[in-house]
Amino acid sequence: MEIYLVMKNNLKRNFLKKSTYIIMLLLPVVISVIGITVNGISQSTIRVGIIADEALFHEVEARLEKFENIEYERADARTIHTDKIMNKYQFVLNYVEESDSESTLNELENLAANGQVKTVYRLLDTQRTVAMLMSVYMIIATVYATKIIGDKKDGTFQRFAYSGNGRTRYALGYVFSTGIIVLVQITVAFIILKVFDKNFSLPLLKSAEIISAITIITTVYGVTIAFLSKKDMNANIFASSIVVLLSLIGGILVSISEMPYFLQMVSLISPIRWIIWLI
Amino acid sequence: MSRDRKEKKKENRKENRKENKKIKIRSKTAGFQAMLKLNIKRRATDGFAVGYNIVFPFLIILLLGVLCRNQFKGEITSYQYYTLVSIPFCTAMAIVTAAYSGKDDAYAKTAQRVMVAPVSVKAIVLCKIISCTLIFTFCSMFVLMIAAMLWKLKIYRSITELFILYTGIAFMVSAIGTYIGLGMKNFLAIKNVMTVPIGIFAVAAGTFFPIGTLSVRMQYLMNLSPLTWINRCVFLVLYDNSFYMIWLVAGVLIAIGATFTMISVKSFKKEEYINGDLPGYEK
Repeated sequence: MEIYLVMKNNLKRNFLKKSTYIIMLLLPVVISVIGITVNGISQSTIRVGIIADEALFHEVEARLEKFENIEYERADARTIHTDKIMNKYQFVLNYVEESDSESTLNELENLAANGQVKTVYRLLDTQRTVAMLMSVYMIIATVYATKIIGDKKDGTFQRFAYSGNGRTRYALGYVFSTGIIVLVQITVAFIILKVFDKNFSLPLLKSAEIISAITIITTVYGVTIAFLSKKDMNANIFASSIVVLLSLIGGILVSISEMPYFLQMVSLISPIRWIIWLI
Repeated sequence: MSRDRKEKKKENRKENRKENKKIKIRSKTAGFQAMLKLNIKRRATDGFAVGYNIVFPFLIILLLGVLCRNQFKGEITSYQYYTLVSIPFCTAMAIVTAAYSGKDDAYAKTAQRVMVAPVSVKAIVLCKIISCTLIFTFCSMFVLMIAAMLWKLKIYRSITELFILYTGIAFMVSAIGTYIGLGMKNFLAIKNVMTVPIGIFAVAAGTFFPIGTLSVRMQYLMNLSPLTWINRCVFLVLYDNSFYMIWLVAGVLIAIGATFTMISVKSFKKEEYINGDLPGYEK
């Protein structure tokens, strides 16, 4: 009963503000759009820059245009190192300065014919989007749960404890109220992704399983950090820093198999890795 | 006789006026110097400023450097790449510290005394911006030098250009941060709102992983991020010996910084400056 009261009061407080409704709708939309955009950028093509005279360029073009997974353009010799470092081109065919361009071209043709793309992203689009969603909601759940710090400051928490109820019940009330808010937002995000992202492929039952897992993990994470922190600011900074670390070692950026062995072991503690594995 | 007296009186008055002016200028300069010293001291001992600009970039370089070391071969190592892209990103993130500095007088309950002191609004704003710029630039250069030594980054030929670029970034970030800080009403909201676009700009600029595209539309979107231009001009200087872009970018950054400095001075409101009761603002 006490848990229910804490949950109800907390939900009431949140839903009395108009901004909650706007954020609840807007946030999933923004995250989904970013997810779809990132998937669009990291599309599976090989990008090639060509430095050659007119005749040679057309010759190379004739060999490359038959491959759908190769994008190519004439590269600028003055900025070629920068373009390569910034990953604009994964391969450079420099017929002016380098003598091994022909062998690179052959290698490229083999790669394109076998459908292999030189990229670090070994994750599926769906895995990446869901992992990103979970990282963001680990922070957002903490933001919602930080109201508990205010309750501690203004004495609500103490009054609740004096009335014979345990601290755990208060925390559980927060887990449920934060969980409901997060659940609604993640469900909205999944619906948007399912409708607008053609690469997002998860069956209904699997989606429900993933949504539940994300809700539970993010809520428990957020409430625990909020409960242990003394200030809003500390909770937010701590939550975001931990999420960044967990995302990096969880395999969002670099696939687990590409990491050094000790980091592969460390990554086992990351819930992001668990959710990727679950998909 | 009476004419002589009158002339003497006139001369005395003129001299008095001149001296008064001199005293006023001296006291204003002294006020400016004292304020500047105080602000630099505050920034230099501020854990946030140093943490965001020295500890955080090293953490990014080490963590991402280890994670992505197999992905960078040939032109550049992962440690070198993340050194060059994380410094501007961390300086941009220091906009929160700059906003913080805009309110620290109010929070320390010294704002009212500053308003009574013979210090102009210009001096108050400039002291905040200059102190932040100095500390952010120092931190950026410190990280660059140490990282260059550790990971053999050949920066010494272009050190002047990089110094000017980092000063430009620091100046722009400090000016925008101070402008926001002097007028903000909810620190927590401002902090969250400011860091989100910087995070998106960083992703687009390849701060966490180099994102390349040949699509004109995608490239256009990525070019909307100022960090894309900053990273590009750093690589152009160090790896393609092209200096034109770095001067252009530094010029634009300084111009934006100067514009925000002027806006901050013109839109300065005494009531906002004195108000220290902000939600989310706590040390």
